[in-house]
Amino acid sequence: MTYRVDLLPAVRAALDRLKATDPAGAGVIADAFAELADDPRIGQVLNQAHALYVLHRSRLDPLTRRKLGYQITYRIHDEHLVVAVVTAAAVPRPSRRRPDRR
Amino acid sequence: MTSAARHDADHEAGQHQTADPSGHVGFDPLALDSLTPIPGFGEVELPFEQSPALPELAALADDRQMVYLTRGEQAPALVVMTEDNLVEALFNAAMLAQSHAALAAHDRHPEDAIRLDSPEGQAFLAKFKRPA
Repeated sequence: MTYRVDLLPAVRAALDRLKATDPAGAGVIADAFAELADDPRIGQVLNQAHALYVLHRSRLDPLTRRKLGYQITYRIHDEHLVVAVVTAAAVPRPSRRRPDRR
Repeated sequence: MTSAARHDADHEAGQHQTADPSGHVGFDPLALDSLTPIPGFGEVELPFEQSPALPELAALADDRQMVYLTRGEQAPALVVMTEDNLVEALFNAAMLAQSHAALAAHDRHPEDAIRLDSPEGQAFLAKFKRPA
């Protein structure tokens, strides 16, 4: 059983922006849409009342050797077999207060 | 607010959904989603007077626990978590707020969404195709 994946306008805009600065990251997010079509419940529940879920993905930047994170939020409409992708973004890098990063 | 109260509030937030005659469930921005437990984090609630020592608190925080040190009715609880988890929690909250705004707009203009199985959707996806 495959779900149809719909993108809300804000997601398209966000992906276009991300592609300009992080094309590989935009690719990671785009690849995840196929995963959501196969199994929307691979993500975590963000808000049960609104059937909102969040999916985390990451990649290792070959230049900086840093792990870069990405997050997709989406709503599942089981009755219509539709996943509506609501937001997609790069996750902010974690703490900069470690001594080795000063 | 105790964690049980937060969960109760989350349940109550579900009462703010609206449904049109076709059964479509719409989004109500007044829902109390800021009180939703943060996904991926556990919660530990302890009386302030029984707080473990800092190394134990740090171990709990490193284990993605949000430690609530409650101080009775006279003062708000103290929350202990790592800086990384705080950043993640703030980002989640921002994403949740952004999701609500996007869903509210989507309920007003559902035709603005594109289907990825449509020619337009396939053309959009092709822009992000990575070399194999």
